[in-house]
Amino acid sequence: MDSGLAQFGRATPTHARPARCSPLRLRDAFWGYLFIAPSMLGVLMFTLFPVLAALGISFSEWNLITPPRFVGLEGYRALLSDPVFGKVLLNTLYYTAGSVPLNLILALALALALNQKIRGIAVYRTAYFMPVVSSMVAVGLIWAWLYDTDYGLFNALLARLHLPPVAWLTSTEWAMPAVILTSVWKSVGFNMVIFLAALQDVPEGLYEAARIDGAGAWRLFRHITLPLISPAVFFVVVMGIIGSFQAFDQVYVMTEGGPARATTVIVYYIWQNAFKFFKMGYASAMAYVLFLLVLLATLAQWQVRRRWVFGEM
Amino acid sequence: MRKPLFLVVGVLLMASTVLSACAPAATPTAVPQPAQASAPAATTAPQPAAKQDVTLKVMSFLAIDTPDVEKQIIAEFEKENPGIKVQFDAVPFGDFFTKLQTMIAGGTPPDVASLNMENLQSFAALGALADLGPLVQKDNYDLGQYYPATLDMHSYKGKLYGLPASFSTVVLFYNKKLFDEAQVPYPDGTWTWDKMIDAAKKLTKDTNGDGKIDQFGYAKAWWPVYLWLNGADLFNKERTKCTIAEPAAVEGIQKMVDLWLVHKVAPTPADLKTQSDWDMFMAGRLAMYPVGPWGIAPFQKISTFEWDIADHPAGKEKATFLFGNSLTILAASKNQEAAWKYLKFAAGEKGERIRQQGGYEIAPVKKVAESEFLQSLKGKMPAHAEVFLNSTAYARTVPVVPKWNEISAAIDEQLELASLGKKPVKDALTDAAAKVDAILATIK
Repeated sequence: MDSGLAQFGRATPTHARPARCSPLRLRDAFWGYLFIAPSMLGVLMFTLFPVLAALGISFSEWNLITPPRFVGLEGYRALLSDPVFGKVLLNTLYYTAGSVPLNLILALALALALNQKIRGIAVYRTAYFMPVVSSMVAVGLIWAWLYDTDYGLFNALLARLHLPPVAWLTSTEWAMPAVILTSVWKSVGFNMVIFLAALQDVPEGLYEAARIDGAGAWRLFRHITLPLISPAVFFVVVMGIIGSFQAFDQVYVMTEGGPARATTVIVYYIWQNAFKFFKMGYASAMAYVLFLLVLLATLAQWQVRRRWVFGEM
Repeated sequence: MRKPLFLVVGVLLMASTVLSACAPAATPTAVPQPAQASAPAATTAPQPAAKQDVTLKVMSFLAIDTPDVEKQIIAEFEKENPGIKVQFDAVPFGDFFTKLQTMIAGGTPPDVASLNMENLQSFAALGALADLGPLVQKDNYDLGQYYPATLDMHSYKGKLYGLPASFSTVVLFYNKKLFDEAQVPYPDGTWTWDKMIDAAKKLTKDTNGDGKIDQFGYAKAWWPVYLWLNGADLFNKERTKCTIAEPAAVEGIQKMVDLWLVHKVAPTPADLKTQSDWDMFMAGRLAMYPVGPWGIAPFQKISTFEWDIADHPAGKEKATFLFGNSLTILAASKNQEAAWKYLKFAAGEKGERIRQQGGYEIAPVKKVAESEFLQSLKGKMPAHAEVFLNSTAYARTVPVVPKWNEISAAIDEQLELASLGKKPVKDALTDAAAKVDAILATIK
């Protein structure tokens, strides 16, 4: 038990601090920095610089062609009075609230099922992982056909059950659930793999001990599996929320934000403002608001993680 | 101890993934200065010594389906103008404007670009295009050879920014076989809206009895025409106020929505997701289809039925669309002189004669339209090709304003609600007009 759980136990940071500026250390540091220089340069040029540039742009009015004009907080103020932005925020929350839990539950269920010793397990695992490595554009195009009102697979199945057809992508009620379903199908395999890895780290001894104490399947899951994989659950939830705040491709390919803006999520609206409406400043301001929202959501999760993530209490 | 660092790194990574996706490709410092004072001064110095070859970058979506036509124009142009080499980039219409915008922002714009009238207004308003006025004046270039309407639509605030390269009017294409089968007389210039609806009802059929419509009578055109047919318009004369919520406009749009909700003679947006109206017409599933001359060449390949064209049925007024494309010179181009030479050739009589062979649109040079265009269609479908030219008498351009993309998105959102039956047309248009007015107020 000790050995198996050591990684979850609290680290005891009692490293002795070496002297700071010994020549040997400096030389090591020089080579270290040299080795990371290429990737650091890349990060600085292609990540950090655009991030800071976008901050500057968010305080200006810029149409990409004439030089930007400084307008201070005007863009941020305009966001507050833009009714479309409010709708877009709600749509993003809807998408998140729909896709993250569904993804989590399905991924966990799949991981549990595929953690058994079944013949040909590798084939199943590969099959569920396939959508993850497929292009979202291809997936979106195929699913748009599955959703087709007249000739789609789903409505054909509904017809078999003598149910009326559903206008999956062309009604304001169903478009968002349809987009969510496709996104979950696409990404569930990735989370499944993370859960699988976590499940395989749960020491068998714990189950044995609990079984001897008379625990049934549910109690094993509830009191051993779930707590021990909670770091993985935490990771999946945090990444899932970040990812769903950034949803774009599926909307772009399947619905173009419609019908009547029913599936316009925040990144789609940012893209529209930047590249369709020539409003770079406004789009950048919106990108920063998105960043703050994601930051707040993540910080909030870091705060409550102590209550439920194993090894954090 | 380690956690705060992890948190900081996490936040930075998050920031980068969230923001880099949205950050513009170029940086604000890369904004090209409209090539005026400084640039020419720097480049003129080395030129006189040896007259170097000029490479002219031309980007165009014109005649994208028949690329040989533009290539032939370029070959002829290069023959007439030794010393100018044209580097041609054919870009499909759908990707064209984003690409052009990015190229301008990145400081590597083409010298000459084709533009449709809406985008010409936007790019002209942003200062990206060269005013052709001085060039026309210097050469005494004859603008009288063009249809006047095609010059107007490529002007912004009274200045000409593009030489007309092609234009279109939208007319009613109809499938003769479907009309014969339903024993409905062919449409002609006397048809009214109500007569069209009656015919469309007879032409809308569920041929295999599965409860789904297999054949539609009419396909909805772009919405502005339904305002005009009812005597309404998008904006007031000064284009400072949106007028789509006025009674005549509401009535016109109601007629459009009724095509789906009441008469059920036109494919709905859901139907069109399965098969576009274009493909429906080609497949013989659509009896009447309002479309422009770009339909001629593809539809001539149809072997299963004959088709012809007629004027679009009249509402309270006769109306249809007039669209146009032009060739423009980018303000940042360092080869203004050569670019102007190219424009005069490619959008002049010689170039237009060649382009007309592509059959993409109609030549805006009157002489060419009246001869080549009609000549090239003699003995082929459509039998009544002259309708394209005659309808210029009542065809109108969509009154384009800067920020058109934003305005059109605001209106589309409300029209989608109305056409799904989620919102009464009047309420939808009232809300749309309010949004459009707010956008118009931001245009200086």
